[in-house]
Amino acid sequence: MRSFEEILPEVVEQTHRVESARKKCLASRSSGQRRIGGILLVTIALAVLALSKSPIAAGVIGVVGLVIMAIVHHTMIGAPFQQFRADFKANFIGPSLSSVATNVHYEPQGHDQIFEEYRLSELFPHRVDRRKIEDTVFGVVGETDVKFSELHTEYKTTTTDNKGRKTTHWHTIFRGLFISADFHKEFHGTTFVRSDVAEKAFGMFGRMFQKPIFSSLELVQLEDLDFEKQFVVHSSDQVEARYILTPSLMQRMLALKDRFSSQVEFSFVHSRVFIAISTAEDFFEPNVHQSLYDNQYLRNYIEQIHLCLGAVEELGLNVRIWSKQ
Amino acid sequence: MAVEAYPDLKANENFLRLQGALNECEEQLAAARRAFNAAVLQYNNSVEMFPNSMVANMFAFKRRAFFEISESDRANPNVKEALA
Repeated sequence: MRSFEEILPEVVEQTHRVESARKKCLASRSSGQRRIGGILLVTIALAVLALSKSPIAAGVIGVVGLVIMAIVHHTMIGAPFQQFRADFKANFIGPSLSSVATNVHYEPQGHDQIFEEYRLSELFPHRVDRRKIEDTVFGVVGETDVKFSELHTEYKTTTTDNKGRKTTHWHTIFRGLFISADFHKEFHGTTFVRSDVAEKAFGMFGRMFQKPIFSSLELVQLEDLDFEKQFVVHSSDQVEARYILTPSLMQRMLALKDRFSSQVEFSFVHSRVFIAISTAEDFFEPNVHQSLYDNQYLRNYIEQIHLCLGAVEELGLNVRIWSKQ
Repeated sequence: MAVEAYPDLKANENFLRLQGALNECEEQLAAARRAFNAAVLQYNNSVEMFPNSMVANMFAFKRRAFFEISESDRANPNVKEALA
C-alpha cells in the first residue's frame, strides 16, 4: 500500500483549498462566538432591568435572547463547520482514498448498500430498528473489490411503568467499522469466526458453551492455539472451514485483531469475507483547529485509510493463486 | 516447478489456470487432512478420558492413527506425468 510520502504530492493542491475553507470556518466561528457573547450580555442586562417591572417581560427577553443565540450559532458556527467538514471529506479524504485504491466511490453521508452487506454477512441476526451509516467507501485494492463504512445498528425495547407511561430504550447491536471484501477462494457454505467470550471467561470449561444450539452449524476446533484462544469458529462444513482458514490466514486474522485492538468478528459467506470491527472511533472527521499544513495531522488520516483498506493486504486477499479469478 | 527459467510461461493463461488448479487441489487436500486429523484427535480424547473411556472399553473402541503422508508423497506433483 502506498505510503504517506507518496500520496501527499497528489493531494497537496486540494489541501490548499481545504485549508482556506478551514480558515473561513474558523473566522466565522470566532465572529459567531463574539456575537453570541454580546447577545448574552445584552439579554442578561435587559432581563435584569425588566425583572423589577415585569417578571414575564424578563422571561420573554430571555427566550428571545436564546432564540437569537441559537440562530447565530447555527449560521455562524454550525453551518460553516458542516461546510468545512464536507469540503475536507470531498477534497482531502476522497482524493487520498483514490490514491490508495482504484475505482473509488466515496459517500461521506453513507450508502445503504453497506447495510445490505451487513445483512448478507449474517454476523448479527438481531432485528435492526435504527441504523446510522457514515463514510462509505467502495473501491478495488489490487485485485480485490472492497467496501467499508462506519455503521451503527440498534434495536429498541419499550417498557411500561405502573402509571402506563411508555419508555423506549435503544440497544446497540454493532457499532464500528464494517468491511466487506471479495475472498480469493470459492466456497459455498457459511463460516463464522467470532470473539471467544466463553473460553476467555471460563477457560477449558468455556468450550462446552461454544457448541451452537438450535443451529445447523458445527463447532470447528483448529490447531492454532493462539487463534483458538481469541476466536471461536462455527461452520456449515468442517472441511470448507479449514479450506478457508489456512494456518497463514489464522495468523493474519490475529494480526488484524491486534492492529485494531478491539473486538473483531468475521464471516465467510457467498465467497466474500465480512469483517465487523467494534470501535467507537469516528473515522475521517476533521479538526477545525488543526492546520492542514501540519504533515503529522494529515498522516493520521492516511493511517486511518491504511487501517481500513489495509485489511485486504493484511489478510492476503490479493494473492490470487487459486482457481477463483 | 522451475518456471523462473521460462518468463513467457508465467504469463500464459493456460499455465496460470493449471497453477491455480494445482494450488486449489493442494489446499483442498490439506483442508481434508486437517479435518480428518481434528476428528481423530477429538475421538482419541474421548476414548481416553473418563467417563467416556469406560464406554470405549466396553465396546472396544481403540485409538486411531492420524493421517500422515510419506516423504515421497510430499514431493511436488509431476504434472508432465499426470498429463501424459
